[in-house]
Amino acid sequence: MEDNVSTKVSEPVAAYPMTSYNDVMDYMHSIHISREDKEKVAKRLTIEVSQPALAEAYERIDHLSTLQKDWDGHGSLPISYKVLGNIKRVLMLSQNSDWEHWMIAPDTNATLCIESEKTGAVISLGAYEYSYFAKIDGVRYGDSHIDFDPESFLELMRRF
Amino acid sequence: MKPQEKSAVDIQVSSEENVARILSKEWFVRGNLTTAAFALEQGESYLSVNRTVIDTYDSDVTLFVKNHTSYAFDDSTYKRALLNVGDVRGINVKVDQVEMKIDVEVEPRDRHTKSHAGIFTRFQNRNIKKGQLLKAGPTAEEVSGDTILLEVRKELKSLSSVEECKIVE
Repeated sequence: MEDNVSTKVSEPVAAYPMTSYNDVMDYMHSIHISREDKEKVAKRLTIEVSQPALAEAYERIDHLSTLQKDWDGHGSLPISYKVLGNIKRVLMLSQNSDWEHWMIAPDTNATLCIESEKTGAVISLGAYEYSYFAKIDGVRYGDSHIDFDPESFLELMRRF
Repeated sequence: MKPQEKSAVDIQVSSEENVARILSKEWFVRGNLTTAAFALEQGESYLSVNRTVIDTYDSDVTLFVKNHTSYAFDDSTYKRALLNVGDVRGINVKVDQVEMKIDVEVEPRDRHTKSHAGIFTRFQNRNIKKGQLLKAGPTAEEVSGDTILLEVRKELKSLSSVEECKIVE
């Protein structure tokens, strides 16, 4: 029997108790959406149950993509699609452990701020470039206008 | 080149005062404040704050929070990052390689609301904006203003204390 609860690909988890891969598969058999959407939902749900830090990062990106112009009252722009695409490319290469101590916040001028809870390192990610700053044991590390590529971005995150 | 010393006349906000950065919900992740709360917009020359000693502080903040939903944590509360002005002025950002001295200053910006003030980051008495490249002299190496601003916002976050406050009607 079908219910009338729609399932969005970007927000796949409803109030359905899922703690294992088998739970995900059971749920997938119970919903009625296209095969293509099922694959997307299954991929996200598998991440949700097995890689919580990565799943939280995906959810955060989903939320930040909904911010409207002037969300901060100081004339901020919505986060750029290009920037959202960049961070998703990093997420696709990431392990769960890569995101365990990183926070994602909306930065100014349609960019994102990626910040480490552990070391305080801050990376500002734009559409084509990123900048970073960290001060660890009194030593300053920083650079700006670095051309974005997901591999070196992830490498920088792993360094801090 | 050394920046000019400030005389007592130039300083209009006492170092004993506190200023408040009003915080958006979006700047918190897992309950922790991120440095994004202290970022300058493109083209901005200062970070907006409010002086808590000014008599219109509560009404200025209430009006702002009521007009911008991302600042109201519920119907009756907002959050602020409180900063002591003396601590802000004491921020020490030096770009070692080229011996650049950066100044962080708090000044009134009360044209629109009486309690409004700005935190400025300056090099050689000029405001640093996002995207700028700075040079200590004609032959000196260029330094990115963005990296300096990232360091300043990290310092502001570490100096601040986050408080939950009642919206005063």
